[in-house]
Amino acid sequence: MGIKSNRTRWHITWRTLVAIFLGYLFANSVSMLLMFILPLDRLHGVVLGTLLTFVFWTAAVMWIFSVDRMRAAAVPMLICTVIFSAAAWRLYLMDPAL
Amino acid sequence: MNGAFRQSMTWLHTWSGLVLCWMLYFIFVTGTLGYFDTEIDLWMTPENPAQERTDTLSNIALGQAYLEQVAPGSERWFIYPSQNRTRPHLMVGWLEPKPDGEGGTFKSQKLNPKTGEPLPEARDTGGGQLLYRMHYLLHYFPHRIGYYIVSLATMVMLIGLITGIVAHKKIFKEFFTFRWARGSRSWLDAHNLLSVSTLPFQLMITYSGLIFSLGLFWMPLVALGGYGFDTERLRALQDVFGGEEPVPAQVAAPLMPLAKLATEVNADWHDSPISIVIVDYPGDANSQVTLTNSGVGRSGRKSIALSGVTGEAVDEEAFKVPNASVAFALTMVDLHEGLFADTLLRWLYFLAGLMGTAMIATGAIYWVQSRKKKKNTAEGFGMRFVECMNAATIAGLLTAVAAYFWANRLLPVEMAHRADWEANCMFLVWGGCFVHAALRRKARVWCEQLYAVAALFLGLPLINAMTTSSHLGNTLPAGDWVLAGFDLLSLATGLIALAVALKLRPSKTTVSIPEPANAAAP
Repeated sequence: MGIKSNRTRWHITWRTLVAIFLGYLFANSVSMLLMFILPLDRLHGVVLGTLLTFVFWTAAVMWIFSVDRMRAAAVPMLICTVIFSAAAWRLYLMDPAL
Repeated sequence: MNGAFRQSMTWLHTWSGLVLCWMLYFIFVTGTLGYFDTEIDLWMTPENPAQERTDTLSNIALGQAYLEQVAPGSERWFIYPSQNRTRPHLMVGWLEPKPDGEGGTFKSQKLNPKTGEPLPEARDTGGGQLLYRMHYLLHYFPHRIGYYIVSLATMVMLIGLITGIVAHKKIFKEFFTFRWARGSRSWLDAHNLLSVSTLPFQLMITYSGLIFSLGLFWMPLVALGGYGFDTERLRALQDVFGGEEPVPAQVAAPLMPLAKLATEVNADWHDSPISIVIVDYPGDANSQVTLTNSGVGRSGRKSIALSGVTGEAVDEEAFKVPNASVAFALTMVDLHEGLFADTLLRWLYFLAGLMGTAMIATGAIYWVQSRKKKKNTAEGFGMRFVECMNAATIAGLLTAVAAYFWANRLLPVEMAHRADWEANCMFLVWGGCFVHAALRRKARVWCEQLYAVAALFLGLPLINAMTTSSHLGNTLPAGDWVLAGFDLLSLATGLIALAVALKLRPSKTTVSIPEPANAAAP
């Protein structure tokens, strides 16, 4: 079971905050990377990315809550967020239109 | 999907649902009533009964004639021709220039669609529109704050839906399972039945609720990154959902008769006539007339911009839906609003909304029931709190809505800030329900709360008959199904509440039905 009932309320509060905020950043980093690498015009990419962010956010929250020890999901998610953001930032700097 | 995953998702479903279920219930009740906002408006302004629908083009001509007299210097006019449901009257709007010259204040006036005369001033009321606006802005909050809170609740709703789906081992089988009068089991079965049968609607309404104007106000990072953190271009992106604005030439030129200008377009769109006319800079050489119909999605919704001076189409490309993602977003938003829905479809929307409301209510009640079963020890504060909140929200909000309608009939017509006080009455009564639930003996709370719902809704047609002439005695013979429908639906709500209250009446010899020993925990 993901969350044991004897865990303190701080554990749950902390996990909820991580799910909301790290999940938000994670979802945006995935969408932003997709927006830059998909072969779509900018408007299409931006709209598609934004529409998908809500789906990724939901998935991220579920991921954080699905593991026994939160670290098992939070660490890979943090690493993914950093890598995706860095890649998106690189593409952003290389983009001739920006 | 292994058992541990399903269990953790059940946990997430339970707790995310519980934390916000009362707010979601409020959003669902007010939003569902919003599908009949115009009908409620009509009931709440008995001074202005619905008019017979007249021809779209003559509506546009009458609207123009009125605006030319009242708002010649305005930078934007709006004409909303009367239509079967959404608009029982012809309505015009305009931006009244502010003294400092920045933007304008929106003013509107309802007109008689036959004569173009302004309708007599009705009582000051929030109408169905206020109920509808509460479902995304709440009340007493600054708009922006209310919008953020509702958006966050919607996000939690989406998580609740998805986790609810994956938590089920046999979603299809459970759909056909209903165990009547078996305590918490029955509540769970009802919750499953309501959720699964309306699942496509619930997913659509929740996801589309998130993407109004793309959700850009709280999900702007992708758009900002894509446009080089240029907020001007971000605003331009939002124009995709609105259309582009012209720049005035500052040279006077007479505006064409709008009815003439719209004739050809209206004939082209015969199956869905013009529903909005917007005139930018009327009387300027660059004036632009935007015509829009009430269709849905990529194929149905049509918009065209014409020069107000020559009548020629300007930049048709700007009004084409640019790509599949934008088309998807527009379609979702159109589906959410359901403005295109005719009577039958509108009732379906209403029914699906009610089932969503009941889904939330049964879920909240099941939480209490299932915990009662588990531990028979003394109840903690949490349990008491949830029970209180459940009764005061699930039944109490209905009492509050009824009180809102009562206030519409009973508050003096000449009262200052009357519309505000209608809403204040609603929330005062609701507050009273919370106090009642907190103080009253537990066994009586639900029953008495439901008596209140029954009393107020059953009394509504009576109070209507005592204060207006648009009561059932007149509306039924006249076949006015909008106004009669309101009263009949009130009666039905009251009767259902009364039936449930009588069933829940605490008897001295309470017989509890034993749970089967082998009932597996959900």
